Amino acid sequence: MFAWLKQKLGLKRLFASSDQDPTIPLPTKSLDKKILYLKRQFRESPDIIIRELNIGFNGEIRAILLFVDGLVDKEALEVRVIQPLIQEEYFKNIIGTNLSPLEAITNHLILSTELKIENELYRAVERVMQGETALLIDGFQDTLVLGHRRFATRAIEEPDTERTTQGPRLGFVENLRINTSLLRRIIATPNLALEMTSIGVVTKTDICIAYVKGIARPELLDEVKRRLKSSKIDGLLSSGIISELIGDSPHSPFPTIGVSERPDKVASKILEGRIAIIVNGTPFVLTVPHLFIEHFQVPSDYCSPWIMQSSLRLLRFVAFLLSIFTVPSYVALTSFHHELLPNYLAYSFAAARMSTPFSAFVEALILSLFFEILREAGIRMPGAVGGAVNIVGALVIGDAAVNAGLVGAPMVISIALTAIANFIIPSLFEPATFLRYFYLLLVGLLGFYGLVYGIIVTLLYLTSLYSFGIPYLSPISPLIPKEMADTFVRLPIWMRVFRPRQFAVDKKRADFRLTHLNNDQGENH
Amino acid sequence: MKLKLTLILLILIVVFGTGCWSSYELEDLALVSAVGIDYEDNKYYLTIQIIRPEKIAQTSSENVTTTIYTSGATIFDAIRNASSYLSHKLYWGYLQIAIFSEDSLDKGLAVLTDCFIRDFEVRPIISIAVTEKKARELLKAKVALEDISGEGLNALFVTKQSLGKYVHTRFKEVTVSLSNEGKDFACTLLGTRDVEDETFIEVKGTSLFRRETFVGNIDTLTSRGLLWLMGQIEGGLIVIENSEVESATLEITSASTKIKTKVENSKVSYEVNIKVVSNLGEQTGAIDPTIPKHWTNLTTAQAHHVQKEAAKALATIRELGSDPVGFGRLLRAFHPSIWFEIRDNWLEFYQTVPITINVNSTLMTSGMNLGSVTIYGSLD
Repeated sequence: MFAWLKQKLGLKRLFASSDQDPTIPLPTKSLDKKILYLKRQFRESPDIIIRELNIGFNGEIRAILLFVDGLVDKEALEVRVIQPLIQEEYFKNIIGTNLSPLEAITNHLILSTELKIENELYRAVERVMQGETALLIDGFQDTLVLGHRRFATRAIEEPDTERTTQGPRLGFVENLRINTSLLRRIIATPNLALEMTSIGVVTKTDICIAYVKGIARPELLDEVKRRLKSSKIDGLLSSGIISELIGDSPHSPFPTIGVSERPDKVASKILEGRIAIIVNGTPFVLTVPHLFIEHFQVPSDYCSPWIMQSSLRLLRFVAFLLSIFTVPSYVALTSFHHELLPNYLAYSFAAARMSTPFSAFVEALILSLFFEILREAGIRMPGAVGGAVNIVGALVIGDAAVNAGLVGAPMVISIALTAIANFIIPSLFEPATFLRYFYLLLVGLLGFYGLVYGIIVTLLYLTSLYSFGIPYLSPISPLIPKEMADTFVRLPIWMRVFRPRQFAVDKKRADFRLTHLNNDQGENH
Repeated sequence: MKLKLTLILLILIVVFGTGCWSSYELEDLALVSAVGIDYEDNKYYLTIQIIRPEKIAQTSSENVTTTIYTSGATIFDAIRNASSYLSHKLYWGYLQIAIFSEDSLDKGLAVLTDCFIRDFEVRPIISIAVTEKKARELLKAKVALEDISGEGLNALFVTKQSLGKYVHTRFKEVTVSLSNEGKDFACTLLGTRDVEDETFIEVKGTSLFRRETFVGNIDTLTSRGLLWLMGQIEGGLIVIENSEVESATLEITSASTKIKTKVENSKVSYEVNIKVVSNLGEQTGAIDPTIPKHWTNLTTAQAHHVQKEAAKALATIRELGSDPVGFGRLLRAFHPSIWFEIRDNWLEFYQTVPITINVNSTLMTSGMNLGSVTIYGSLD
């Protein structure tokens, strides 16, 4: 007991001695003291390299380079930093001038493109942790921070989650800087603002707020910044955490923050006046405000003629409704409202249900559960066993369950239809599943009567939702006729001249009509 | 906590409780397809045809229906008595047809149909038919090509369009006829026909009523005349046989009837204007119908034919004292003061009031052939 306590206390003391608070300023010009501090700090970190140098003809000035192995471009460091600092031939230009050593080093010797001077050592160390290189010179309190990052990144690929038939095949990657460059490549205007901040007490994850000055509403921008600033968290590992931290209704099954992996999609949102939040380390970029209608807008909508794409969008609405209502309706029809079925459909439903022991409601629960388990298994299982799971799923659910008389064939059909329809809009998968079970429960109690109550409750709830102050269902409720051009149908581009007025300052888009080019006035620019 | 407990209880009840309000699983219901009503010895005898869905699912099986027989002091009583030996609850939502035997019609239309009209499960669009035989025997007969005779009869009524030889009515028309003066109820008359060793159900004509009393039946040809008067002809054939040379079969494409009431010096008369449009469907005579003279003759022959049919039917229904056309209702609508005067001796008035029938006949096309296809030389 005492031994254990002693050990515990001993450990505590050990920690206390080893961990200095890294943020305490170290006001010293002595390199030795700094080296001592750094060596103690990084005793357990062999990947942090402290390279000692002697600068000058006779090595009068001592300095160290501090960097993380694996995050920096060592070759560039050797050629552009170390070589000029220690080889005599480079000093020819500065001999005889009365430059201070710091000035001489920054202005005449180091060949880095990125160079900053940090006052506090701990700030420089933070930069080093993110892949930059610190140059500490004896006799100076300031630290030079050089940007020579190079680390393993994924190649830019087409995102797996949002495929399109037409349109760009670029996708965001984990690296923030590459992501901002992808955005900048699409929106090549000086008005594209990429404000940097960081979240995470420990991880200090970089976050970039992207918007176009003059289009995005300043109030909205302030609100986004306020919410980001007030979110305190240890480590930020994915953008999902941000959306949970700054979202309007964290308990809602409906997402109020948009997620996309496609630079073109995010760029179009930014151009509508939305604000994008890019988190370092995750390819999923957030956009706010996020409205319900955005789930039904996909990039390929804008790549081919509007009539076809409008009907496809209507199809998406139908599929969404089917994915929610098929199973509850089947239960209601077979258990409560038989008179609504056409005769022969009723006979075949009745025939299918004759051999099954459970009520339609229990049958629906059993099959839904089967499906959810299969789906969950399918997401995370290794590709090699995928085929096996598929076969088992198809046999168990599709065939054996019916043959064994556990469930009826019409129920299998409705579950299958639900499953397929559900994947037409992947971003609404979770709300649709939630609503389906909610309605199923109500239908099991009260039939269509319960379903109607459920729909009323859902609509009331949806109208009460907001995303960063914008009603979730707008522009349908509240109705904004001018902005309806891209809701249920996608009208041709010259009819969609208005940006959402609720979050865009500059409401009118550039005029697409060619007539304005002819009279050469350019008044709409 | 309390809320959570209630919620969990609620879910458990939904899952394991069987007694949800008005919830019946489809397979636990006995789906009634047709019902026949007989009345003998102060008792109602019901023949109820129940569908067996599991047999329908097996494609090559027979006996897709089960017929049960039950009896009671009233129709509702008889239906309830069926529960004494039926494991499933009778469900009337899919009822297709109710067949009343002539014996039962003595009880009066209102009494017979009340139970069906009052019950919420029976739809108001259910067909009504009368049979001269026993309803239980009629329901033993088959409908050609159909396994379920209830469904089959319903399908049969749909094809009436191209036949136009019987009146088809539903429960909702009973309600309308009984609750409004001036129009009497009429419905299909069903019988059987023996073909080789099988018995099939066949339409025999129309049954006529005066208010709620059954007055008699008319055959299919007279029924057609009645349909002309009622303006319910949607199709059918007109066979003209004036002479060996002038004979043809005309196919009706459209027809309409307008009845006018005329009052001159407080004398009431009716004018029935029938408009018929048809195509030449079959040329059986030796003339070329496309010659304008012959074409006009055919058109006139058609008018005469329709006029004759309608006049015959009119005579019959006036004799029986039934007014399914609604002459009384027209008078009530356009000359209410006269209607209320003669209302008490309506029958006498109806049988004597002058009614003229005019036919406007049109012959549109001669089909795919311009002349008649005959052997060379037989035309003059």
